[in-house]
Amino acid sequence: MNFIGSAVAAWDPAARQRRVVVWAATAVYLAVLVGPFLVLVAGLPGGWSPAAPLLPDRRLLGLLGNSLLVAAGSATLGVLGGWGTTLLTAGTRLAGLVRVALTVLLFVPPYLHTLGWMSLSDVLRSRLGGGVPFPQGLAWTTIVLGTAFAPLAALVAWQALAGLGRSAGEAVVLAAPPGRAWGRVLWPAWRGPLLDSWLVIFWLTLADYGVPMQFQLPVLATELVSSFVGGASPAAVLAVSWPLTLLTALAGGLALVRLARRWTATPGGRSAVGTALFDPARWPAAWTGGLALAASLLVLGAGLPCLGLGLGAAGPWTGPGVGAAWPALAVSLTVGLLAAGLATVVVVPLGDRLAAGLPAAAALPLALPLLFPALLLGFSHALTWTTPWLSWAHAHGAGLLAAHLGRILPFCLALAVLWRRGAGAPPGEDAALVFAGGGWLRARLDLPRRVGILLLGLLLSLRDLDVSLLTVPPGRETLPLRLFNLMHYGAGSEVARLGLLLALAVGLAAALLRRVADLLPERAADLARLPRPESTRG
Amino acid sequence: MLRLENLTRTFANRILLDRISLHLEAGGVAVIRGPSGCGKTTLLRLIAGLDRPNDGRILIGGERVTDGAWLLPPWERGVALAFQDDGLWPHLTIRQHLDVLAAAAGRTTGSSAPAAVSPADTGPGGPTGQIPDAGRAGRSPASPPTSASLSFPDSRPSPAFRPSPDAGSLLADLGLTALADRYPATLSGGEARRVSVARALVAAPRVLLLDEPLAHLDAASRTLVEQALLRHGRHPGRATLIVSHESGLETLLGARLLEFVAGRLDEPGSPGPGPA
Repeated sequence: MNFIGSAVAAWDPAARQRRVVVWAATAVYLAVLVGPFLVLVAGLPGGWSPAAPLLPDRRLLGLLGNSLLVAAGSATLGVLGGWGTTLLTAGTRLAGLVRVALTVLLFVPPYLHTLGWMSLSDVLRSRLGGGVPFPQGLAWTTIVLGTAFAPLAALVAWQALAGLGRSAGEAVVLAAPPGRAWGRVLWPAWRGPLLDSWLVIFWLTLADYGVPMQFQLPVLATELVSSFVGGASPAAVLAVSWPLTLLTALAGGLALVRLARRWTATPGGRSAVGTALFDPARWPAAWTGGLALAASLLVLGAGLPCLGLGLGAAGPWTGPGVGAAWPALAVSLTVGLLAAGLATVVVVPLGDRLAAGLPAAAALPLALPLLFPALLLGFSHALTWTTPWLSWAHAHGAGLLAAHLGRILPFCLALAVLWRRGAGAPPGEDAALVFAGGGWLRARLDLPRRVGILLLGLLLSLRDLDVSLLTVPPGRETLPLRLFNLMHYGAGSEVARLGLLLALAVGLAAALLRRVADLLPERAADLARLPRPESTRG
Repeated sequence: MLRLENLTRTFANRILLDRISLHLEAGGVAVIRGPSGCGKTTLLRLIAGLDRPNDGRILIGGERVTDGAWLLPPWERGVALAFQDDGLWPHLTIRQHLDVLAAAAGRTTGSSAPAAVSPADTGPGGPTGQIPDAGRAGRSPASPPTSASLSFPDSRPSPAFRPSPDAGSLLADLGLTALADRYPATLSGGEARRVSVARALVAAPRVLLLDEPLAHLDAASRTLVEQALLRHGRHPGRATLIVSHESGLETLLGARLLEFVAGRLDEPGSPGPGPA
């Protein structure tokens, strides 16, 4: 076999892929995520300028302070609401329903929360008169971002609860009443996950610019986007963005490393959630009251905007605004499905390789894009795709698709790796490789993970505003972008209907994702039911 | 047919396989015995391409399938493996397990087709001494070359062969006919083990690897598997390697007995350092 044939045929047993497939997936991943940055820095039109000031001035530092305030406030609010909801409902009959609701809420984008609050204030204003203020400023930005990301904290809390085995939980209850056990055993065990969830929300909200823009709160991210869209030198914009980028990367890196360690260290088996430890009726009244108060932050923070959206959308759905939004929805769905499909093809082999272990030096470039703010990805793709030799492709949506692919790839890769590390290889995969190759049989065995990745990619793409705003070609729009533009003119009933339409699409995909994720323990249970030679004879 | 050359595998600085060399000719059957954790299963996984050696080569039918860090994918090696944990496919019935592989090997249930024998069985590189790459043979996945499609380097006629079993007869031989439409989750441990052996046999491999095929079986199941191995295990076009704790299997099958001692393969009663 010649060198090329030999290289193409070479097999990587750790990744369970041909080496060439792993290399190709890596190349696509880096091309989509790192390529545009290289094009930018390489000095193409609008590229890096050493003359750009590197130190932010006082005004920018003040904006960075606003960003930090918003992120810290959102993280605190999110942790309170998320953990309160999980702890209060984990041991009750509502647990399953709450988990589905949390998953759906997790993917409802923050700008729909904003729209819901705006609709609610409009409805109240129309019914109560002009005394109802229009929501804006730091407090509302924090409330919306904190509420929008609280489900993430709630799901981290679920993971922490699942990490406590049933026997351990029962042993704790035998040693002390739940109230005291919480203080002595559970609080020390949960401090870590609590900090993780705070860090994750801090990381994800620090560079958000959509919600602050809607609530007219100047933060560093809004300043950067405004400068970029307003035609400022990209080099200057990128140069002053470094504090935000650095802080985001640090917070994200810390959060991800901690979460990954916790995820892989979580023991299997039945959790302590069903024990008396999680029965609210046995807790001290102060505990129950405090948790109820914390949970109400999430319940009210998510429920009221939903109510606002529902009330605002009341009436016939036949108006011209809704009809005109179908092309935008079609663009969103097309881009979402294409990007999610491509992402699945890329991250499955790459995820298998990463899950099997990779030197840190090789894994780092793959993990880094996850940490950087989306607006940087948007900037780099916007500049790359508007260069003369790519503008034709950009006009046909290639830039939008590539930017969406770049936006979702790191998250899909993270899911691919975590799923494989958490659940291991699907049963029968080794046999599929030996007997039937890497084709349909293996894909069928791995179907839940692949569908999960596809749905996650679709969800993230459907709700994306960050990169769409910067990379959408002239004359096209996605549904979130149409909503965002219309919201500048207020939250009329047509806008509320569009918001509800998007929320329904996202909610449906999120519910499906929840169902697929639920297959994980079911598959484990199937495996447990499979009689093993050690336990069953003949 | 199967040649291992200085195969070495370490785990966490512990040498599990220490320069293992072995030559198993076509039609040969060997039973490997050794204490738990000595590397028997690892050796089978290395041969199947599911694990990478630190050093050494593996040749199947004279074709290079593992050469240091370079590996040919498992499904292109013409190897079948009955896994220690069975590794059945949860979404397929027992009949579908066998039909999938019978179809891939060019047969359908109820029919028979020959398995291939390579002239290179006489040693590495065959008569010419050249070692071709397995990938060049152009086999379809999981299907060793048939005598009709294989072109022999020296144009010698194919040695005699015995037809491989079809899925239907294997189901009958292993007492699985009544279970054919059931899914793996509904089988007992012994039934699942028999399905695993049947799947390996129906694939018509050039190298048949069986990992503890008799472990934890009751007397009836054990007899069924032993009879199936007697009937189908030895094949003129195939090398069969069996890992087993059960004593007496080598006598029953007329097989060579190899023992793992300190990471090396030792053949009791054989002169020299190892079973070359």
